[in-house]
Amino acid sequence: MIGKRALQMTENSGSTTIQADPRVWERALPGLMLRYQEGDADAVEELVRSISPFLLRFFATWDDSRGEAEDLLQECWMRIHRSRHTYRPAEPLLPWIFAVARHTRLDGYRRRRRRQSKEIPISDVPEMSASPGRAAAIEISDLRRMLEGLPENQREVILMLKVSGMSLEEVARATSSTVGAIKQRAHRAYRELRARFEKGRHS
Amino acid sequence: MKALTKLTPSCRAVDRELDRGFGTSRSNLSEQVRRHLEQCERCGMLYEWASRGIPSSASSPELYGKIQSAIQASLQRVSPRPSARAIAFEFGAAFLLCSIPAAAMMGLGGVEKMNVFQLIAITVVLALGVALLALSLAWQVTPGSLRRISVRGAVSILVAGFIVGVVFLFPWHTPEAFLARGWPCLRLGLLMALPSGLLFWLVARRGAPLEMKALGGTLGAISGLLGVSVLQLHCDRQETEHLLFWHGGVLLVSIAAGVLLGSAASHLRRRGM
Repeated sequence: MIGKRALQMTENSGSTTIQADPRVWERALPGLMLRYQEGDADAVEELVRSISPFLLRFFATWDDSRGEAEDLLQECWMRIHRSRHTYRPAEPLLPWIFAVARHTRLDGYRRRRRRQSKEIPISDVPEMSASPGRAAAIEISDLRRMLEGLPENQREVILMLKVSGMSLEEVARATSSTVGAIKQRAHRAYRELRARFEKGRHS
Repeated sequence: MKALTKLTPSCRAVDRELDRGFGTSRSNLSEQVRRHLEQCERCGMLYEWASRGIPSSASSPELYGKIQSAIQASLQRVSPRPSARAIAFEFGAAFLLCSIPAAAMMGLGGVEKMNVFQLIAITVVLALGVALLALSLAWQVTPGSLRRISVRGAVSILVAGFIVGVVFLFPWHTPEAFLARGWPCLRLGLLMALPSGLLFWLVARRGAPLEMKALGGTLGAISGLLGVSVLQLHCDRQETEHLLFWHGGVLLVSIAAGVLLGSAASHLRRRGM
């Protein structure tokens, strides 16, 4: 039960942070994915429980509405389900998952923008503040604030590096880019973040 | 105080460490980077921020249960798709499946007009274009695949390669009945591109295309290239102006049509979300 052990590790460390090395459970995931492709219901359960917190965090770092993040999570899993035959066990799983998640988010963002342009907001109170995950939301909102104003493609790279713990090559896979392009975006973002830290310290 | 935008070689070494992964323990850093992080405040703050964990979101057993039920309702065994290279071969095979019978049916008048060097060189240019597009399509329908070249790069190389090949290989002649003899070529090329585009789409939809607009453009490019290839073998007007404008036109119109169809498909997908 490698999957269970990996999950416990994630949950144990998850009570304080998710800094637990995602590599550890990343090694266990391809086996679960293979069982999922074979139609094993237990593998589905383990996969959903171990990957969803990361996906939820990824969606939440773009949006302050927990409801929206949860909707995206459900939509993402449906897309993962429909595309599961395109995962090859020899390839890393996280970039495959995040490639699907990224497009779910982009489509959700565009759909919401279209909807918002037709609606008058009833309330500006973010749903996140009323959710049980309030403590987490505060940290995520800090992260969101820190990255606000960065060009979207740089912000996306930093979020994937930070939230999922993927390498540059894996982020390139997840964003359908080349490694060179990702490296350039990351370095521009580091430069901007340094400037922000310095500005914050002197203000 | 250091200027905000000025980075020293040691700052760049910190960037390289971050490239290796966020949250690496300081004990794994090189001596140079460790020393620099102690001296340079902004790098220290950046590194500290990158190393900090993110609190876990509250787990939602109900939500996870809902997701599991939805998946399990339609859970069945699936066979994994082959590697990106094998999928590229599928696109290449589809290209040959359409182009060989089409060229055989329409006749090889163009081959008789070309010399051996022109024939070989233009065949190489077109074949490389097919290989590039087939590989790009294979990457696009396989989420998480590592791309060596972007979609825009692949299509640009194809168009540029075609223009350079035609300009250097074929003679310039004063156009004669330019429109009257060119229009049928454009129409014929597009007529061949249309059904082959459908076949390529059938191959593509066996995977999981994510970026519909880019996919549409690439499918348009490979379909247009099929039209161009068959015209190249069939058409007896092997002159630069004719080839560039009318045969190249097939390629450009097909790419534009593919992008438009891809955008429409992307729009429909979002509406269905």
